[in-house]
Formats: sequence, structure tokens, C-alpha cells
Amino acid sequence: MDIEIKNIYKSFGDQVVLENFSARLKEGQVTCIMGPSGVGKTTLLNILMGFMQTDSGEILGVPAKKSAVFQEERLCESFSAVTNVRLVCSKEPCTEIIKEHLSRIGLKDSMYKPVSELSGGMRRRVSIVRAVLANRDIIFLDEPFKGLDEGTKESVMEYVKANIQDKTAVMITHDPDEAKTMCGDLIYMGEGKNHD
Amino acid sequence: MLVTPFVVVKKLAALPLDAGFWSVVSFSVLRIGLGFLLALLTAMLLAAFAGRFRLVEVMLSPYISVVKSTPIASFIILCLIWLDARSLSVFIAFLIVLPVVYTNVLQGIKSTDPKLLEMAELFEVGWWRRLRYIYVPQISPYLVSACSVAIGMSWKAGIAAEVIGIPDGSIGEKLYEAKVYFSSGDLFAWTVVIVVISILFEKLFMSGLKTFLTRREQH
Repeated sequence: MDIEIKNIYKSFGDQVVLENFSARLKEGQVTCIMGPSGVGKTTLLNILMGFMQTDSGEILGVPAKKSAVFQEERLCESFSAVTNVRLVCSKEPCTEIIKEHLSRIGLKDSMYKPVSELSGGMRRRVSIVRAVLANRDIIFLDEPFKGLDEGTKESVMEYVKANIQDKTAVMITHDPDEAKTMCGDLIYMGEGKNHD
Repeated sequence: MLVTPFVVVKKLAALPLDAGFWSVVSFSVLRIGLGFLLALLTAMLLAAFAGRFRLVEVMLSPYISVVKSTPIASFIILCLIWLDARSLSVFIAFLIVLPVVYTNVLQGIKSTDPKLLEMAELFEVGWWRRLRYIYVPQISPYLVSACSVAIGMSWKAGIAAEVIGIPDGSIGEKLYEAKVYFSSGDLFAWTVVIVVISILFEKLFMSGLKTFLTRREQH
């Protein structure tokens, strides 16, 4: 089932962030949202994730089981990468599977260190594996490859692409190359008037 | 009236050789320790409810304020009317520790990163995992600091309760007797015993608590 966003409106005090915004996010596809900073991309994602309410308009068809890579990693700092991933798995996948995924994106030697001791890029990768292995119906990716160096970014993008195939995903990015590699659909949000 | 340090040291050295010494010490340690542990558990439970339900926090707030500001001697004398002198120190230690731990743990719960809680909400993380991986690491520093303060307070209040209630075979009774017989040597010796036990109790408990919390944070 596609996600239907109909004429939503969202403001913070006097500042209107989303005005009469509509879009359709196709099921089983990665939809990219692009646009300048401060245009309401993360607000839209927060609304879709259920963290914010719209002032008006409606959104239909958002699956209940959600997963996300947040703009900040939102990891449990004193625990290891393995524990952070295991935390969100409803039916605990075998630790071996978690370890295998972490190894695949270059965290083999760091998976049992507290995540507070990992670099920004490593923490980003932990949050990506967490979102992937949570195995939900929809995955939200808010600038998921931010802070990764070029070489790592490429392999992580391949990893994400391979693991979210046929899943509904919404991804925010500023990078046209990322959008080209990852996305089936593109929504461009411009200042003042946001459109599909 | 005042004895020399040498006399105090002599009295102190003789105390453990007295047949009744260890039973007197264990009487007070068990009761004050029990009061402390009961308060610790109750305070954490109440703070968890208050953190979850604002109404509980509002309802508890006046009681906690009253307990915090009422002189402990008033409580001791009041409680002597209803309670047996032997269990008085349990209740008084409980009463003095409860608001300290409750206030600190609640503060810890309130300062939990809302973004982490949003993450847990989105991924539908169960309550047990939220408690273990999100709340416990957040509350730990608050709990450690509260316990460190509350242990000393529980000893001061517990012994004060024993001095006023004078239960047979307690450290408080020994202090009372020292006062009645103007025996400042005994008074100083028993005071040193109380300070040593209090420090030992604090060191043992705090190292146990820190080990427990650190182990929970591994893996």
C-alpha cells in the first residue's frame, strides 16, 4: 500500500514549514526527499515517524512497524554495537547474524567496544545496521551517509541498497549521487512551495 | 571530664574483646542497614512511578517536602508512640534515606535523553530493555551520588533514634549510658566505632553498587 500525504500543513509559531504539501510514497520503493536546509524535510520525516502531528491535512497508509536511521545516531552510549543492534530486534536474531552484518560494513574489530568510543562514521554505521536488522515494514533514512568518507560511503550504500530491496523506504539527502544510487522516486522540496 | 586520646584508644582496643560488643554492633548495623535498603527500593519504585505518571509526582511532592524539612528528632519522638524502640532505627533510617534517593532518581529519570526514548518508541523496544539499556545508565550517576550521601545520613539518624529510643543492646544505648555516667572515654570510643562502621558500610555498598552498574553496562 502506498503512503498518501494529502495537503498537510505544519507550522512552529509564526514559521510555516509545510504548506499544503502532498506526495505519494510508493510501496516497495526508496523515495528520496531533497531540498535546501530548513525547508521541512526532517519535519516531514518526523511527522511520518509519528513524532509530530500535522496542523491539518492527512497521511494515509503509514505502516505501524517502523525503523529509522536518525539524523543523530541515538545510540545507547555505554553499550557495544552488538547490544545496540540487539536492543531493537523484536525476535532476537542470532548474535552471529548481527556480528556478520557489522563485519560487512567494516566494524569487525569494534563491535564489542562501547559506542561512545567509536568515531562518528562508525557510529553512523552501527545505526544503519540497527535500522536494517530491525526488519520493519518501512525504513526512514535521515541523511544516512552523512559523515562517511567516500570509500566507506560507497560500500555502506551498497550494503543498505542490498538490504532494503523491495522495502518501502524514505530517504533524506542533499547529495544527488546518493539519490541516483539509492532512490526509485524523488521528491524535491523547495522553499515556500513544496511539491512532488 | 575530657579524657586523653590515649584513654580513648585503650577503651577502643578493649571494646572488641567485650563479649557483647559484636552483638551490639550487629544489632545497629542490621537495623540501620535494613532501613537503608528498604528506603532505597521504595524510593526507586516511587521515582519510577512518578517519572511515568505526573500525577504520582504531584501527589508525593508535599509528603517528600514535609519529610525533608521536619527535624528528625520530631519524627523519632513521634514514632516512639507507635513503634517498638527496637524497630525505631529501621523506620528512621528509612525516613531519612527515602527523599534523598527518590529526588535524585526522579531527577535522573527526567533527564533521560528524549531522543533515545523516541528511538525506543519507534523501534517498539520493550519496557525491560528500555529500563536496562536506556534508564539504568542514565540514572546510575544520580543513584550513586544519592546513596553516597544517604548512607552517612542513615547512620546519623539511626543512631540518634537509638539514643532517644534506648533499645537494649544497641550502639545508641551505649552512647546513652556514656552520657548518663559522664564517661567521655566510652562516648569517644563508641563514636569512633560508629564512624568506622559507617565508612565500611559505605565503601562496601558503594563498591558493590558500582560493580553491579558497571557489569550491566558491559556488552
